[in-house]
Amino acid sequence: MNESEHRDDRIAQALAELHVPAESAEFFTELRARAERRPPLRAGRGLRVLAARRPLASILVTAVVFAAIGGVAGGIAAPRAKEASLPPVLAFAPASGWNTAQSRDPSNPQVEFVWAANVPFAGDDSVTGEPLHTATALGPTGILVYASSLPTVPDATGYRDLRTPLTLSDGDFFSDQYENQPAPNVSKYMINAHVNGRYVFVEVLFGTPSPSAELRQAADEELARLLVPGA
Amino acid sequence: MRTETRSRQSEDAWTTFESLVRSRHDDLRRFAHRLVGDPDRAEDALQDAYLKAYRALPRFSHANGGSETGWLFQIVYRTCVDHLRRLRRDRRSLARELEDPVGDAKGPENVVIARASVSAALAGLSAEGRAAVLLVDGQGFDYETAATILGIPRGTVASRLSVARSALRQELGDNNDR
Repeated sequence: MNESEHRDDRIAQALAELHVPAESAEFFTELRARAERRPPLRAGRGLRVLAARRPLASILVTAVVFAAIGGVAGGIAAPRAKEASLPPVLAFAPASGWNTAQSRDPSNPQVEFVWAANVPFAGDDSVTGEPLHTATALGPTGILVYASSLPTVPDATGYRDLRTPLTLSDGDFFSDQYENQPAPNVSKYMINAHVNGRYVFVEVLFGTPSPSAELRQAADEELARLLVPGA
Repeated sequence: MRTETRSRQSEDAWTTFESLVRSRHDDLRRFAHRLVGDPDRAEDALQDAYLKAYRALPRFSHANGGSETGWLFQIVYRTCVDHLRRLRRDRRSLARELEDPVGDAKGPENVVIARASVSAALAGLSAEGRAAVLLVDGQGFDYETAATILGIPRGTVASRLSVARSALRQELGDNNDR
């Protein structure tokens, strides 16, 4: 054992004497407020999501997809009548190897969220309706696509007029140190688009900082299955 | 009913988390401030770290000897390093920010000088070296735990400590000679 296996008491004392500024009395209050906001993957939206799902098997063809409230396989809850009567906004056409889910903002049921992932959704996400845990747990080949749609937005600047299918090249790429990065290995493409009269926000997350061409192609193929009906 | 249940679960989760963090908050906070230097940035880093910990708590496991304290220090360390990268400040400006605001301190002059010198020496270290000495000498962690927190081999902890201690001892020795 060398000498440094022990704590150096003299240095320890010097460190202990160093000043630490006083803490804000609001530290934990602010922290809790932030924790309760739980922005899914993007700051500033302030949206809370309530799961409203039906079995994935009910989504068979595009027309049915538009009429259905999709669901995660397992953990299914029947949608409330009020929500079920709402016209669906976004959906992913089903594809082998991809899980999909839909949810709505309970404070504004016109706001709908859809997710698709080539990995199972994390258990917590199927309860909260947010794919945050799935995003955090993405492995090197994991892809998560998360989209939401609004009929109107306060500021349309930045929403480009685009047509489906959306592609990664329509968005901006962030690989490191971006806001609300779920985990250090997770990179993302972010797309803001005005499609079919709707404002659509899409995030495509990869479990690697440098997604390969193969992964990006797989993501583009899933993006092509994102169905955006007219407003 | 589901909303009420979720709300209660959320309340319980927060209570558990806050209790866990508060019992270690002073040590974590001291570590973050010493590591980051800038007080505002340190507080931001600490909040970000706690937020990550809160969201990750359901997945925390005691498997493989994982301790909650080590886990929290690991999250705080990584978040602080992220914030330090963002700051992109050079060592000189970091040293300036780490200078102690000693306005309220009424200790002997030599203590004040020593504190400022130790602060400067600490700021002159790499973030990795600073973290090693803060964990082992500042917090009293053993090498094994420090290595786990820093995500480096035990031998690397030893080498980083050696460099860091050498710099700090020089400052302490110099001030003793004054």
